[in-house]
Amino acid sequence: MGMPDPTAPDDATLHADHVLVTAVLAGTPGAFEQLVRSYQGLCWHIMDRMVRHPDDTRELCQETFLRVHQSLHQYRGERPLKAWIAQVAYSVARRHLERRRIPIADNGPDGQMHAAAEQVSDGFDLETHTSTQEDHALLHAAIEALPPLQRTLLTLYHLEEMPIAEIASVTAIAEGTIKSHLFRSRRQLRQILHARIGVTA
Amino acid sequence: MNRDRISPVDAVEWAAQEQGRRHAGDAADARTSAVSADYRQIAMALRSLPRSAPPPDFTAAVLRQVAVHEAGVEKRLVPVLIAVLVVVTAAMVLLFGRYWWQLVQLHVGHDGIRWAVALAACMLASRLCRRWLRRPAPTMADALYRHA
Repeated sequence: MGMPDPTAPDDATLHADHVLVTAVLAGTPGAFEQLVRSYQGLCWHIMDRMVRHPDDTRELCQETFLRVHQSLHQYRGERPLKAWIAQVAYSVARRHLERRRIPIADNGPDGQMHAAAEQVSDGFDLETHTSTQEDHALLHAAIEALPPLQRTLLTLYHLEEMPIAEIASVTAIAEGTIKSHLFRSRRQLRQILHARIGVTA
Repeated sequence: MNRDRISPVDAVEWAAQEQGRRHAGDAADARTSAVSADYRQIAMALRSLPRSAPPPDFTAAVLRQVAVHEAGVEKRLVPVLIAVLVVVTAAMVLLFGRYWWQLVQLHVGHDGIRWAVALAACMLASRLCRRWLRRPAPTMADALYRHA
């Protein structure tokens, strides 16, 4: 007998999602408001990580929920509503960045992160700050300097605690590619951390 | 390293990254390897990223937008605005078109006009080709997007 997949959505979640979607489609007063309140944080988070502009984030999140409202009849209930809404949000954000001709991922294995490290070291006095908080501030700045895709993948995996399979369905990127992005981003963050320790030691 | 694959050598480091992620909320453990300890610190930093939140009026704004869309105000307004634009443009061309054309002929000449038209056609063709070549592979989300 195989082990149950701990990352698979449980029936209770899918049932709750189905009840909510049915209520929205039936036009039940307050149902869509509940849906927006439940997932606006997730949508905002993805959009903010992708576009890094407060006004655009607001506008694009509104557009996302408008599209969710128009397309909700296509939700088939096979996976959590959270992942489905995240997919629409990611798609809206990606199109926005493409229209602005902003690259969403780095082009080489390490080039973008070296640039990120340079940007980060500009703002820090490496000789004087040694605490863990300062390490975190350094890492936060390095994460901010990442390209939108890497930033969003790290956020979805570490903060939203989404399984890689679910991130793959949200972003339409192969699981192996997502793992590779996560791996390289985290390794480069470690290099930045080590460079700092090397200077402060 | 292949861009989309983690090599067997890197798999050890991947395991350390994952161990660090799993133990991000735990107290430091002296038995943990130095690499895992680094990745635990990185995972802690990732978890403590500042999270922005939607403003308090966001839900109300979305509901207003949905109500407007459902009422079909935009759908009715857009054709009216386009019609007004067409009428105004036509009136301007009728009133001033001949004068503008004389000015262009005077300053640019017939050859100049031909070259300008050719240049505009080249730019348009180039732009259309670029857009067609840069189009992303369609995904399910794109299908939703198109439907909406």
